[in-house]
Amino acid sequence: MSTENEIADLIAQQLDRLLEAEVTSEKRKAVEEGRFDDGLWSECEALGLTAALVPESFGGAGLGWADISASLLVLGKHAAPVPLGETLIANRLMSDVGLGMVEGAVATGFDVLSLQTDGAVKGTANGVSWAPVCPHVLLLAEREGQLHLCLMRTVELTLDAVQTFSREPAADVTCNGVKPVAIAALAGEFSQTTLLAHFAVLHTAQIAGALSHILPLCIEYARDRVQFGRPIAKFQAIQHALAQLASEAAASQVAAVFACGKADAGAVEYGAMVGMSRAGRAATLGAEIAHQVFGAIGFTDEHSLHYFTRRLWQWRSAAGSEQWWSEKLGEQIIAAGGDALWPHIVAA
Amino acid sequence: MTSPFNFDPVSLSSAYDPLRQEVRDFIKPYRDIWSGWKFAHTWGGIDKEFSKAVGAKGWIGMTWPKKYGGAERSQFERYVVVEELIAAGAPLAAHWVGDRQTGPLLMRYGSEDIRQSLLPGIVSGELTFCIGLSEPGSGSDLASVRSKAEKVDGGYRLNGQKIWTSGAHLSDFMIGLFRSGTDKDAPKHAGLSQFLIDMRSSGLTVRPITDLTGEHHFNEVHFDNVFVPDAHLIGEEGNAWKQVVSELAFERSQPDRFLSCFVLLPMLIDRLDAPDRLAKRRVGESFADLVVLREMSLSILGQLEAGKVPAQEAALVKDLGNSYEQKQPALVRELIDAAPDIRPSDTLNDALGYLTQSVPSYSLRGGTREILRGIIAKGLGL
Repeated sequence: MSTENEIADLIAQQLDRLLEAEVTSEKRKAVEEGRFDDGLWSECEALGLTAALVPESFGGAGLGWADISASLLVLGKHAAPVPLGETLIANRLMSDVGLGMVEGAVATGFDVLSLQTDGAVKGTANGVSWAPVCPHVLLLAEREGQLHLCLMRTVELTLDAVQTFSREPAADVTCNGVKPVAIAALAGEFSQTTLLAHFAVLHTAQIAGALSHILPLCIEYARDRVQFGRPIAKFQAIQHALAQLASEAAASQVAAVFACGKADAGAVEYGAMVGMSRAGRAATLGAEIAHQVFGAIGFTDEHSLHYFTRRLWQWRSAAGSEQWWSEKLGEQIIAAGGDALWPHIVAA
Repeated sequence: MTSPFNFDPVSLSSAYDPLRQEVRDFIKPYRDIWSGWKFAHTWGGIDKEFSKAVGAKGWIGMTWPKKYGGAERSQFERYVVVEELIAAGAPLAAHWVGDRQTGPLLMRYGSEDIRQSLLPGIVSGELTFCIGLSEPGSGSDLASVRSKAEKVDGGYRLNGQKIWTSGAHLSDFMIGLFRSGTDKDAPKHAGLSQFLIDMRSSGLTVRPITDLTGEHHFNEVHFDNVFVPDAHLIGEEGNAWKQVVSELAFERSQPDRFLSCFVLLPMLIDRLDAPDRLAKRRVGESFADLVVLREMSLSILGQLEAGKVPAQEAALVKDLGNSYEQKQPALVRELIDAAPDIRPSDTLNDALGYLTQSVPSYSLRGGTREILRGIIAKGLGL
């Protein structure tokens, strides 16, 4: 086991312990009602995860996606009410174009805005997750066919709150000729899809993490809940539904680790296509099974299940849906022709 | 930390690429002449001549010791060969049982004499084995088998009946599960023994069962005072349940559990002239599912290599894998208009004709979906 692995495992364990101790349904609810937990954010930041993917030359930990995949799963497992994954990706993206990282949380918009000749950004990025609670927003802006990454101060932007499935803070972010605090041109092969792919890989891991939380929750409930004189866990119909849930949880975890590996290998879009195609469908089926097992109580606001199932519905769509990524993947596969299919599957 | 199951990633390095290419070059002339109906059988198809050709390449028993004719190559090399052959639709059934199950069983539990006399024949593709497990009253409830092995001077006398025995009519030997214990109060998993049975034995009768595709793969095998010598008891008397179960982690996680319909996909892709969004989505999903299943399967292989027995994980892969492969004929029908005509002149239709009828068996053979989900549920502590 390499040193990177050991560091990564250590970070994942620390994060798991921290979130286990700190994150409750009340805290999730507070964030959903607009009260951001600055204390929790500071503790997460102190673990060093925001700099995990940033190269050491920029003061980061220099870890890869595969190294931190366990931490990304942990974020989903606790439905952590902090934009930790989002920020660590933003810092990585900025480092990749030479900007380095910033202090504090960073939200990222996926729409392409326009970069004016005076260096100001104009346009709207819709549905930017976490923007209302982040000091900075990272935006894509284009001038004469060249894409740029633009780091903006949130206070200089106009935010219109948007409701989402997760209910975590989100907003349409409008820039009316605001100059970035930092800007860099993106490499030619980096497209809007590439940007989405980074976040789709994160959400793939979060889905796997959330399913890994829902599974024991369902098992515990099925053992406790008695109907017809016995725990519902004794009914074969319930056992088989939970077996399927376990299979989906396992498949999404494998999909997440695969996607992280591809991101490290310079194929983040391929990783996102395979990862989200598989995990997005696992999210759908997993949420469906969990709600069926829990019955009416799982459908209430009072029960914690919805904090996870609503996030499954959020993450499967937030950075390109599983349908969208599947379509992109299928388009490439079909265009390459039947003979190329098998070699593509086994390509290392 | 986040899952009750372990699927640590294992990847096959590009060092195996030359071996892959060798398999592809070997199979191509066959693929050019096989009909769609034939290659749609893939590992379930029996072709003794083809198996001998595979044996001549050194691709049967390739991980086994050289003294038994093996090539002492790694499980990963075997995996490469197997997945390439199955993806190409190669008929492997004449050697599949020997290569996948019986050979490893004999190496673990067989006597040195038996190993030396049988393993080289498996390796060359000349010996075909079948497995006698199910009985008329024992399907999923395998531990309830009633066929009896009675101790006699110098060996055992077998009586009873096996059913659904694939390839028995073309096999040289059977590995059969029999009840040798006489204690009526013992748990039903105890008292079972495995025997090596010569299919030419006197008192042994094979009767064909035609399946719904119109073909003869299944058989009934009747035992009327069939004698087997002591040396043909495999492993310990009464220990067969444990011996059988330990094979399953391997059996249930291999490419044959998710690639049975793979041959349809390349043909489907080539038939999609102007793919619409639905076609792209469905093909993308199928690709992603397959990539993830293969990752899971390779992870299990890695764990087996490390000496673990990931039985739950294997059950999970087989369940996901069977469900995946079963959906593929439906995927073809969803994306192209396929008439129910089965025409050898239309390779896709020909393959689809066989596979549409064959897929119901996938979630039955090697452990039904219900049994597998029961195993997974048990692993979850339910």
